[in-house]
Amino acid sequence: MFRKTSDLPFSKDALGWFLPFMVMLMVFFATLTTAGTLSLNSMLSRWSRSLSGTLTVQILPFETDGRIDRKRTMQEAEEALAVLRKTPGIASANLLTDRQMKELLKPWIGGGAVLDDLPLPYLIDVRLMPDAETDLDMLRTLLKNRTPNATMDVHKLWLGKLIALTRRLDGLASLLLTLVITSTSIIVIYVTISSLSVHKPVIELLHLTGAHDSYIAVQYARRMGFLAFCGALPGFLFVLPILMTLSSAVAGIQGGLLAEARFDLAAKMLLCMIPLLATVLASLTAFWTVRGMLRRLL
Amino acid sequence: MTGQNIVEFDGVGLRYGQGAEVLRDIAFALPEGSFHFLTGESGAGKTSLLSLLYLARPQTRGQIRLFGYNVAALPRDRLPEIRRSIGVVFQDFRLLDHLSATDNVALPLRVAGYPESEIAKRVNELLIWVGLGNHLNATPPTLSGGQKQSVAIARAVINRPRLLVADEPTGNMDDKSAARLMRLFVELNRRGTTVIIATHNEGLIRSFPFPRLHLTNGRLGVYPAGAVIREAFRV
Ligand SMILES: Nc1ncnc2c1ncn2[C@@H]1O[C@H](COP(=O)(O)OP(=O)(O)O)[C@@H](O)[C@H]1O
Ligand SMILES: [Mg+2]
Repeated sequence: MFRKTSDLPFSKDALGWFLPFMVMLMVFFATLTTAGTLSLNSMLSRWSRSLSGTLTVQILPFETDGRIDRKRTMQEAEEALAVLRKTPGIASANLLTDRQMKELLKPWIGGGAVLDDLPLPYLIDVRLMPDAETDLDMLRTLLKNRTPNATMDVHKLWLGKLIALTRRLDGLASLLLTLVITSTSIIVIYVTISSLSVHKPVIELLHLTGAHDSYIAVQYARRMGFLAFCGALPGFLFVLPILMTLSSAVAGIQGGLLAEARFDLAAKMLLCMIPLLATVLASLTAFWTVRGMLRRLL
Repeated sequence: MTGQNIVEFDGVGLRYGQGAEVLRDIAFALPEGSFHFLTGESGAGKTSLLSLLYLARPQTRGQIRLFGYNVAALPRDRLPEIRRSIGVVFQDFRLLDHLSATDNVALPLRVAGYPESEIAKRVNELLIWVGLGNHLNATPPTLSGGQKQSVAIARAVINRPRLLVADEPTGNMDDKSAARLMRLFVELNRRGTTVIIATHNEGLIRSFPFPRLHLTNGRLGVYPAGAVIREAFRV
């Protein structure tokens, strides 16, 4: 049964509002860190889903006497296609048509006649067979010999570097969250212990009246949970405008990869859990602190 | 169980810290359903003796048995169950100032896990019965000394204890209120509660036919009702 008043006169605690303030800071940092980690990872998983197993071969336009030699460039592209199609482990290799190229470039350059005059490279979109061990180094040398103007762009390479970086940032975030959880627990323990000594006479009375330690611990769990929630909620709410500002700034980067940083439902729910988790953490910490301290009495 | 001893002290001593013993070789028994006065000069050790009885502290030597249990040997989590069978009126009341009279009296029931509906009913009835029907929501600081005492007594008896311990409950009462309070204790005793009351009030002791435990210099003598006590151990 829920009662508004507690058997312990908590409102007299000198440290009363220290806890919500600290929890507010902690939840603020935890939410920001988690949001950052989640968006980074979601970006990365979208990239790697769309890019892994692909590579791009680019054939730079030949110039003869300062003019673009489209015919020769085309020949070389055909040659590269032939090489690629003979390489084991490659599922498909397709030359992007002029139209596809223009579509691709439109966001940056705009449509119209300008494109016709630009020295555009030919692009071959290559899909690798999943699980196939394609010898990309050999392919690279082969292309270099047969088609000197071809270069190979292995997405996997820079994606791998990005993945490594993200892993490191994830590790940093975990460290930060561990630190936040530990500090929150320590603050709750400190506030609880100091409150226990303030209320020693009342606790003795409760014991003499027949209270189990857990009866007293539950009152502390409720109190500390309430105080933590009073701080967790504003701490969480303060993050929201920051996230919105950031995400609209990211959306402003036209067509860039960053626009894909979106929170799905699960991520949103996880973020909303943070203030609740802080409340539960404070409650449980208070409960076990009181149990532990009281066991040493009498 | 009537006739059995619900309290047994054997060679009990108590010292505070490194000080001298304030209680020495205390030996007595309270049969279930009995009524005893506990007397002795101020500082003789009445409160100390009662505090052993309601398990506020452990004795420093000897053995105490309550309801048949050797309490010093009981694990800590068995003590609440025993304490719930003991109602205590403290000398200084020990009411919780931030709680209403109702919540103060409700404490032993809440602690014992009774449902709120039953708590409300029982507490209301008792507070009306002790004459505090108009002060159900008043907090102790707004009550008079006599009213606080009534709240303290109501809290001690709300859970129908088997043993009632009262430490100078008539201390600052006029004779009329003291007599009314004694009738309450006698009534509880008639219904089976074992009662021990520490008091200074010789008039009170003489008007009731109950045996008397008398403390002198930390030692206890047991006297039948109406006995005249000479302070034999006085130094
Ligand atoms: N908590 C305590 N710490 C130290 N000494 C105490 C404490 N309580 C009581 N005493 C001492 O024990 C003796 C008996 O006190 P008390 O039991 O209160 O006597 P009474 O209730 O008969 O007046 C006194 O000398 C008192 O100073
Ligand atoms: Mg006393």
